[in-house]
Amino acid sequence: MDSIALDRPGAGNGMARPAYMQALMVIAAILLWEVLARSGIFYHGVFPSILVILSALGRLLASATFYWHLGVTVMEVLLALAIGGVVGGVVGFLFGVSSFMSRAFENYVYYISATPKIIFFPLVITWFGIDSGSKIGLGAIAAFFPMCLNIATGIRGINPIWVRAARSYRASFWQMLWKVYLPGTRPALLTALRLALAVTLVSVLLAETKLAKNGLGFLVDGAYSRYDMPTMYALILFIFCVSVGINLALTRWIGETSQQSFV
Amino acid sequence: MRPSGALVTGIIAPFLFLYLLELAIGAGLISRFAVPFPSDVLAAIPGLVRENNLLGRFASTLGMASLAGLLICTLGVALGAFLARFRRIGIAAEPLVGAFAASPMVLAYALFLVFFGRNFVAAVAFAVVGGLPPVILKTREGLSTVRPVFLNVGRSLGISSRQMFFKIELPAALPTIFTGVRLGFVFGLIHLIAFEFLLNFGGLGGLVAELAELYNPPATMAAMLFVIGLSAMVFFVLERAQRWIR
Repeated sequence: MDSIALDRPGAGNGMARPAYMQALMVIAAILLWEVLARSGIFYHGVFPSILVILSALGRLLASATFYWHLGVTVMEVLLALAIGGVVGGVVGFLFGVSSFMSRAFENYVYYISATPKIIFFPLVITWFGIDSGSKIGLGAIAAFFPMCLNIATGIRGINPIWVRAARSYRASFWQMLWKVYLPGTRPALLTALRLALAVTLVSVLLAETKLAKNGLGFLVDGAYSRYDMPTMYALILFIFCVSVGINLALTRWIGETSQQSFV
Repeated sequence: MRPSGALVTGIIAPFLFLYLLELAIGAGLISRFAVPFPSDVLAAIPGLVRENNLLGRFASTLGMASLAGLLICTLGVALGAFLARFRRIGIAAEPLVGAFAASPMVLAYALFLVFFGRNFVAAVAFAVVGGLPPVILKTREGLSTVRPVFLNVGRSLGISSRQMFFKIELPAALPTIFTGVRLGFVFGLIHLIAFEFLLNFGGLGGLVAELAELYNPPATMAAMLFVIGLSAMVFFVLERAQRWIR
């Protein structure tokens, strides 16, 4: 089998260049799209050419309104992440340091974490209205779960000797927090932040597509309602590229930070 | 065996919370328009069963989720095996699949409407695309990290490539693959219910959206509880299955 044959020494020479193959894959996907768009198999309005989509993207990027909507979404995501992150972090900390709390309540959080958070949207609409408050509320609910569960796991993963050593020096709660728990959970904290950012972004954008007056999700929904497919594709492309870029940057940063913390 | 204090607290606390919530709403401390009485939520369930076909919708979502899960499993394992077999392509494709998994795929629901229309095919296709990445990645990981001693034993017995895959590689990689399958099922279910909710279509997600638009908070909350129950049930069953496989 190829997977076995490639284990031989020297087989990795060609694998040092995955970037070329990745570029080839992306180019092949773009070409395939373009061929399908021009083939007439699909209706042009549904399957526009890449050039039409890029032109729509150019128009979007040149419009001031787009940046205003982008600003609204960014603000909602950051506030949701801050609120959900802090609450999730505190609850996760309690689960991590107290086995009683963990055994009593962590399973609830664990199993509810698999629920699609968008179904809580009617609740947050009732509580916070249709403006940014409901999007921030839904985003905060989404951010809570990965923060809570990852911080709890991170706290439990701290070497118990560190905790015992700090206690033997009679460290105060705040000293324990700043000198032991926070440095000890740094990799878990950063991973939690990355996951929380991804789910918060999704929740805020979905809430904006369902019921909103502003934001990128609102623009996507508007483009779909007008059947303006090039603009809709351009918006989705922009959101995909930005979220993937942020995720890759955070993953790389977490990798570097984790290595530094264990050197 | 005597139940621990934590277990008893964990069981009693939600009931105590709901009782206190009932009292707080009754006393006017919390607006009954913002949070319905827990007793009203409970009382709304028979109405949902009779008038809103709750059980049928539950079965509809579960059925679509099962079909999507089957497709996620089959396609994901096949694609992951392809990427594991052709390692150069696999190494190059892995970050792209990872990036795809990290992107807000769920926002592309409008594309599925455009291509498939507003029907169950679009819902299942959307769930499949949402659930595929973890299965592909974990299958590739599992098949790429089979212990060489297993492969050497297979080669020394002179078995064919097909036998090597089905008798040695796949069973050895199964625990890792199942981690991906579990994540894929959960992602698929999340995408499916989000699709139903956003489009007021089909099963439980559609029911929550319809009841919210009718402004019926107790019934909306009761339907939400069923969504939470279904998600938790699927998660629990898959987790148990994963432990059994390991």
